[in-house]
Amino acid sequence: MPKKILIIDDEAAFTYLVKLNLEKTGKYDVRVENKGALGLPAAIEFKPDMIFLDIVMPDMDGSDVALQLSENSVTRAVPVVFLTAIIDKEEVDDNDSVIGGRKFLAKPVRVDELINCIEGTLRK
Amino acid sequence: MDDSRREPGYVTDLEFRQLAESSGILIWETDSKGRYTYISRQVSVVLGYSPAEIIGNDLSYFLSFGLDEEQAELVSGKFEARKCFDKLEITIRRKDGQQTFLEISAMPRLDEKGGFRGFIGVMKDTTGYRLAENKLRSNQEFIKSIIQNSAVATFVITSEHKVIYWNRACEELTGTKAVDVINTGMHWTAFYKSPRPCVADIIIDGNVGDMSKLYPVQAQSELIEGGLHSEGWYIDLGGKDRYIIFDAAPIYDADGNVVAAIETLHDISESKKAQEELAEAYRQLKVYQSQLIQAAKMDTVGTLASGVAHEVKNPLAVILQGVEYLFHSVPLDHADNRLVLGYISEAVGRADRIIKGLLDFSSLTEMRVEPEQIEGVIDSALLLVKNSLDRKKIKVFKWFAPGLPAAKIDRNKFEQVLVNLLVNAIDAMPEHGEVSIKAYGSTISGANGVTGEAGDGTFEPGSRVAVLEIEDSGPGIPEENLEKVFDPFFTTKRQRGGSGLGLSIVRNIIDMHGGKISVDNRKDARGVRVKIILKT
Repeated sequence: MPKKILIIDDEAAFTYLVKLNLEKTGKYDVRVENKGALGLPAAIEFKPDMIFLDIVMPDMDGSDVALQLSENSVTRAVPVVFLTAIIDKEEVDDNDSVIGGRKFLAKPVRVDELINCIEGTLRK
Repeated sequence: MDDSRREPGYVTDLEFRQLAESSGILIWETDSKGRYTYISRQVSVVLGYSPAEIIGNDLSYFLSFGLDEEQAELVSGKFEARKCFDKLEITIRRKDGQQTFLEISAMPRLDEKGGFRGFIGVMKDTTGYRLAENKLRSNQEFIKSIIQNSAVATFVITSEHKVIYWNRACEELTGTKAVDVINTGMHWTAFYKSPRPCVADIIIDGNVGDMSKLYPVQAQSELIEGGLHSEGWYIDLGGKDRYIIFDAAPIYDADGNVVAAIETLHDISESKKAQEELAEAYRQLKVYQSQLIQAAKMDTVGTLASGVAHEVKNPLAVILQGVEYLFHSVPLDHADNRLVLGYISEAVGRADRIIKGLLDFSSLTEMRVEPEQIEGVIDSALLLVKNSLDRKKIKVFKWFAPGLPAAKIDRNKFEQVLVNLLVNAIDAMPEHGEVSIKAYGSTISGANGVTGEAGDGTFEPGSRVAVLEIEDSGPGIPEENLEKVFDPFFTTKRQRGGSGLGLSIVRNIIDMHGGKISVDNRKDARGVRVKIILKT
């Protein structure tokens, strides 16, 4: 069974390409959501194994989406990784990808970094 | 007397009187009782009396012409002694009442047995000389009085370098008394600890060329030909430090020879201090202004950078994902496809590094500065670049002075500085290059302090600093680029992905530490020397 990955990010071109790249491996089933406010309903419906969540989005901030996800019984247990351009790769690397208890990936991100992150997160 | 019986040189009374009358000299003769037996007619010119009015009268009559008591006694004494006397000076009144100065010389007349027969003598009217002499003396007194009472400190030396005037203002200003220097050549003692020509001495000697050697601030007078000007600070002159303006000028005799030199001293310490304080305040203002401008620039860059970073990183993320997709979708057996995708991927990496640099550049506001031993930070930085050093087989030499003071630094930021500088050095050098790192303590000693840069107000004179020098054995920096190395985006490594932000970040970090950094080509060998001065 391919692992289900939800990407919530307003950058449509980015999410489209991530979906293509991940699904090309045959190991992942990727759903894309380009509106922050629709993140929770998408997660409830899609029931992903893991969520990549952007932080700066025009309609709803990623941190608010994360709060909604954590407060919902269906999505509470789904691991969320923030995938954002507002932090720096070195900051992420220095802190073993965890800042303030949350896991981060810095944009721009390579496909192998995404895959390592998914595998690492789901293994736990 | 029969002429044939006369001894050679013998002069008769008649001949003598004829000679006396025609000579224009006042000659006189008395008998043994002091009565005038003869006086030449010149007496009428000198005293206004005719010979007839005097002949037959005795000395007391003559002496009554306004002689004062003291002089009368002197003259009587001479006559009573019946001996020669020479140039006896007396003052008497002429018949018309005018005062006349006379110089009398006389010798006793003796008979064949040596008996006293009276005096024969001459009188010379010295009134003209005496009046001229008095006038001269009075002129000299007047000149002396002008100099002495001038409010401008003044001294005058002769062509033999002897002080002839040292006025009260000069005493007051220099603290040196006139009695200690007048008629000596010791006027330099007022200003210097060892013998050294004053400006007036240079004028006397005519060695104008010495001026520039002896006086850093000097010029020729614009007002007086041959006059010289100098100025400067004099420590403990007359009890305090003074800024003195010296103006000296030659004094000529009637033939145009320099016979003396006059030098005046003006104490302009207060206005000089005010001027220097103003200049210092202006300089400080410029420093603060440039710091403010820099801070404002940084602020703008910071705001811009964080905004740009996010906005640029998102499209970069798209490009990177797109490239990776294409890597797996287009036939890579076509070499150009692979090359193009490789270029795009590399360009994304470079753009990302530039953004990272911009963020570093603008995120220096939070500093945790603590006293640190920089040896430790240097070792950590060297560890971080060890791979690059090993790859190029570069040797590292370290020298830390004993007692190296702890520097006030943010350890992480300073490590970033060192890594940046070391990477630059490594990049600049071929294989088997050498990096030398030297650290020592020093003291800022004023304008000519440890770097010559203390004058810009970065460091307080007298403060202790830690100095770090990093030298490489690379080709050095072309002179035209030296000024630009700290400019943001200036790089010679653009082809290799250099963002041009490294050294500007380094300088920003050092500025944030309140330190100084300079980059120069080495004087002793090929290569670059970076010097960092840090507060302790």
